[in-house]
Amino acid sequence: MSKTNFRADIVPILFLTVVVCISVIALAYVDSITYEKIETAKLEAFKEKLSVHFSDMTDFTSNDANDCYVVFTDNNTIGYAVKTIGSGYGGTIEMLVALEPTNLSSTDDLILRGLSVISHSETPGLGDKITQSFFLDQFQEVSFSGIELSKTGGDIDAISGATISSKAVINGIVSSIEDRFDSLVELVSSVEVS
Amino acid sequence: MVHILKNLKKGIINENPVFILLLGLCPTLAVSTSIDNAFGMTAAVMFVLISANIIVSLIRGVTPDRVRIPVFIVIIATLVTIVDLTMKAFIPELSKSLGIFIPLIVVNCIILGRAEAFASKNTLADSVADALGMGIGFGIAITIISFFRQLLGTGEITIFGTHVFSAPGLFDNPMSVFILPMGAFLVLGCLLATLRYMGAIESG
Repeated sequence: MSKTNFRADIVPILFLTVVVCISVIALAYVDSITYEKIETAKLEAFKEKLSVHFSDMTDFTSNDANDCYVVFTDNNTIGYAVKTIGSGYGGTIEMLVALEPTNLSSTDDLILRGLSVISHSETPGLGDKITQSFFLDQFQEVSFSGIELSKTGGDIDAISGATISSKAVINGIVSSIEDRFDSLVELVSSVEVS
Repeated sequence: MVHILKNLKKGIINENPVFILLLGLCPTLAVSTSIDNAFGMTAAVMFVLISANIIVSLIRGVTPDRVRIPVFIVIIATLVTIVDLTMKAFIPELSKSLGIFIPLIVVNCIILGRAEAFASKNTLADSVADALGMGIGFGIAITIISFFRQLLGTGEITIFGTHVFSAPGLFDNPMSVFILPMGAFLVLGCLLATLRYMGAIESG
């Protein structure tokens, strides 16, 4: 290989390497500024979601998987919350189910205190009505067994034009709570011991 | 000076990226469901477009031709990530509603197109003018599309939470199809047809 050829090959490689290095430094710098803000924004957003249902809450604790929560007011447990996942028309629907502080011998004892949607990608104007209060308010003070569409004997009316989204919310709540009930019980008992 | 004005104007009218060049249609169609989204997307695109054109124009003399496209993409990806992180930190609401389309600005052909076709061959001032013009052109186009989609699809116009007006009749019975992806194609198609028709009349 002649010397000129070698130079013609190595210069582009070095140039690209330098560009990438500069870009990595720039990104590391931006990340160092924004990282904490992003985390606080996330935590604040979540705290706000919880305090919608527990207006007098002062603090909360979560389990390691970050899907079950116990909510306190000055060291008194005032309720539980479980993150639930439904599979909707446009993708995953992430929800937060607030629960009354009932005893936890089985899922039948659970009483819902309220529901809020954390994230979703349902169709704007149709499926995204699952985030509106006329739909969400139906989940207040409902027993776990009542979480079913009214046409199949439950307490929840589907949104007209968005049956798939409505069903996704309900199926998501039921299956996620059944899956996460054991972790919730574990978290609650660990809190009570400490 | 005349040069710069010409470069600025070209992006807004004669070479409007959306209406004439038909570039960057994916984010245009996807996020134009509300005027808020249109403004947020425009701000993000403008920042990336102008910064990318500046950097590309500055290094145009030293960039080896064989790696120019990877170099442009690294620069654009860096800028987009900066925008994404900044939005998440300071305006999380907007970042949520624009979602995946912010990271996807990396592959937006308006930006790579301007870097490759213009900034890599022109002076700094011209490149900035070009980016500004293209950015404004993109902003006007996406705002017009989202105005019609929001108006027809929800029956009311709200900008950053402020209610501007409701269309009587439409508000109680909105044509939801305009909010759906299909509505984006309908609105864009009608706008393009109108513009072409007007252009045809003008040129005789």
